[in-house]
Amino acid sequence: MNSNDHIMFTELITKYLCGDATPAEALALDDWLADPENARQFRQIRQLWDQLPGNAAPPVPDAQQAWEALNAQLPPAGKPARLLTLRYRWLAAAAILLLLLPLWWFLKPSPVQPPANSIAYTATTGAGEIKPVTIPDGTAITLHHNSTITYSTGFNQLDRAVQLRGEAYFDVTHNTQLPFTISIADLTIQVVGTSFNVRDITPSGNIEVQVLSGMVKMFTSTQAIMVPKDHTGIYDVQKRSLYLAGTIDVNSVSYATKSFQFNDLTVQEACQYLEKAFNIQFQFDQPSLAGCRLSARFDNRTLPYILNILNATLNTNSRRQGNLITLSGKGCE
Amino acid sequence: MILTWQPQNTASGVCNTIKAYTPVEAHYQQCFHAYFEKLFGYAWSIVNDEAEAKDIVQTAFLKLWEKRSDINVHGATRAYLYTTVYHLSLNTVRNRKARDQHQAGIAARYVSPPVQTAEDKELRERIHQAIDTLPPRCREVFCKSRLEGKKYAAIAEELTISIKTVEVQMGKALRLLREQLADLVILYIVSLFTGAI
Repeated sequence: MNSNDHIMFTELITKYLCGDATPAEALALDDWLADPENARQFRQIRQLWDQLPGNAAPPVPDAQQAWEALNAQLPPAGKPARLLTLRYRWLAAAAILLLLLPLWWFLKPSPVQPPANSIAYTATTGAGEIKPVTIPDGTAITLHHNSTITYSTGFNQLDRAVQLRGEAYFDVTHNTQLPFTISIADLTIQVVGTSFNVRDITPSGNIEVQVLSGMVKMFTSTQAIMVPKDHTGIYDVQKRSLYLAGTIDVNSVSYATKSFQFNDLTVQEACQYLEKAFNIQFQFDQPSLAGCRLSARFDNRTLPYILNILNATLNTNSRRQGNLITLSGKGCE
Repeated sequence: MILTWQPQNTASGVCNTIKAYTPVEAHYQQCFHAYFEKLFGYAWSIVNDEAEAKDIVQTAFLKLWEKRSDINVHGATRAYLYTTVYHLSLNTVRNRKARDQHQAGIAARYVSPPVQTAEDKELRERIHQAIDTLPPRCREVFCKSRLEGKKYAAIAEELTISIKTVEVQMGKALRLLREQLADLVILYIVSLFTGAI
């Protein structure tokens, strides 16, 4: 910052602190403060300012509380126009049904078509089952075990809304006009086109969204966050709050991507990822084996191939009985 | 409020797809979280009262809600909110019945600060000394603003100078005080940050 700018912004800051800034000046200051260095300088000035006679430090308000207070004042059905069109749509649907009624009687009665928002499609996986599913808009979903995905009639025409229970990996087809939404508890996840993993069965009881490409928006009725590539969005169901973590665990979505990146992991950690992806169980005949460290990368490899590499690296043998794989070897120091 | 993505007017054929699916309500909420603190800070700088500043920001957002389908461009929303907060704040100050009381409050903070430690006393003396060393014109403007609680426009009128001159003198006062009290500033960095505006 040159000295002219410096003088200008000191004047602007002073005017702002005096409560004399016009909206345009407050906006200009706000823009200027987007720079962290400027924000730091402003904090310093503010600290001095608050010490000067006639001044007091401003209270720090609770945004969440303020939002709740505001939300309570908003009209509950703040969309009269939409309600109207919705009612007309039902009227139209009712009219069509009335018109079709004689025809329906005439033809042999068959099961009635489901109403517009009933569930049209459900895919479920049981224990140990991993199922790839492609839905009408071309989106590829890999369902992890004990998971369910549902969507309604009108999918890909009226909306692209699905409901999820459990865990699934999504590779969403790009369509800016119909955003893809996933509802899970009271959380909504919205995307345009991207790939990411959602699970609501984390050990901590949170809902996690791991974004592998593109950008995902997570929101509830009180909060919203954007989750960029290589980040994890976390919804704390207990506290009903959303936050962002700066990393993703690529190996936790290997059941769908079939890609593993083991960077100096213990054998135990690596095996846990393999267990999740291939629905198998590992057991070590020497407990010390679990603590060995290993680095490896596999893209789209079969389980026997991966086991071969592991055995060669760790100097172990593996035996498979059903879903149980026993690793035997000397272990590490 | 339930945030869902309801298509609009699909039956009547007036469907403007992009607009129909624009998540206005979600955007509204995002705006709130993005600007609440800044707008509160701005309102507070004018009204110097927590409850009033909160009311002002809330009213501004309620006004925005009524206009939510017209204003959904990022820049426009922000400008609208700042302008609304500004006018509401000025109205609040104008209508304030207890205005004199507020002035007395400022004076009280200056004349008889609450129970002081020896350090506080020393600090205050340092600050007063620093104010005393300001150039006369600069000090006059500064004192009228801070001790008498006058607005820039009122000071300009009283001293028959331009508002720009008031701005320059006030900026200069703060800059000189910062230089004089540099060690205090450093001291306060160590203490808790008060956060952004």
